[in-house]
Amino acid sequence: MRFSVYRYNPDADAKPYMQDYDIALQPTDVMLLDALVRLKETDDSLSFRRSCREGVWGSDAININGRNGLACITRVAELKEPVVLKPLPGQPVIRDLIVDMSQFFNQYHAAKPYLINNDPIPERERLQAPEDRDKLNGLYECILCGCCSTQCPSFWWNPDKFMGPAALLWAYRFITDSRDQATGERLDDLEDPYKLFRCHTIMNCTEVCPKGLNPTKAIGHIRELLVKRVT
Amino acid sequence: MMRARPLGSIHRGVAGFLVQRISSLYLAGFTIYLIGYLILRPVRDYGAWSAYFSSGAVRLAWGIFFASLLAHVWLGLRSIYMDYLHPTWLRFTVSLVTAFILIALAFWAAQILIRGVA
Repeated sequence: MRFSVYRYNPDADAKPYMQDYDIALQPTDVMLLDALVRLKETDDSLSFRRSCREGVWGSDAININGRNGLACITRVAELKEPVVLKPLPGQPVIRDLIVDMSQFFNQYHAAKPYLINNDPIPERERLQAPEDRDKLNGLYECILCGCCSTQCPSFWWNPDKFMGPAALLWAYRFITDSRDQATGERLDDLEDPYKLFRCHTIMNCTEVCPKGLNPTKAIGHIRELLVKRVT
Repeated sequence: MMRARPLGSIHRGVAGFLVQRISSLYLAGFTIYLIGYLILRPVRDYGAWSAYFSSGAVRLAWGIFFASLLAHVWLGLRSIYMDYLHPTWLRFTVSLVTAFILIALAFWAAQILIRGVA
């Protein structure tokens, strides 16, 4: 199978380049991550992140034939050759397919992704009605792989000011949580031309999310809540 | 490495978002009305145009149309500037020039609607 892989070693290369590989895959090499591991057997200088190899940790998010995705849940049989592999777009490259995710996680932390509740801590858990719990479906499943935010042009242009789809999805996950008591403060924090309103609803995020989530819809819900406050 | 902006919210953005949506609704509705009107009652000469604009309701509708159009253009262009023009001096200068042009267009439209048919 033919691959064209983005290579860059800042210690040795003046600039990035694409390297072509033609390798024989084994019958057990079903997913793209298997192929990457096979590639590394032939060229151990190739660097990429990986961890659980089953779409739970999200470490192996890369750009595959122009579209972000997780290597471990992408079937090689469905890929057009040569398979062009690049790091997640718009992020500083550390080496080869490994990018610096600091900006992405800074925005995630800015969303205050934790429950804010000033009531005394109950003896057991904070209870929630089943219908309130259902509101978290489609939100809590985010694995923070970064596929959505790094496929979003608004995040490419203003990664320091626009929170990006992943962080906004997490913001809404806590806004809509019946146990959270900081909805007003969270909405105050998002009422900003950059943090939220740089989203132009082009839906790249929803298109590429490997977990099938819909950050655009979450962003829409936040906008609705902000509009309701002023009307 | 850029970090997330440390400052808090500036509590703006919702008004612009609302104005953009409401103005787009008016622009869409007015465009449909205008096309329908011109198909059903074609305006063939200057006299017919003058007669059409002699109605206060028509001039008010056109006035709202121009206000919606200019507000929509301002918000759209501002959005593009915020996305692509990162140096503050450049964004400020281009925004200022745009604002002057749009204000001039607003006065021109008002002059036509108020005095042009008088």
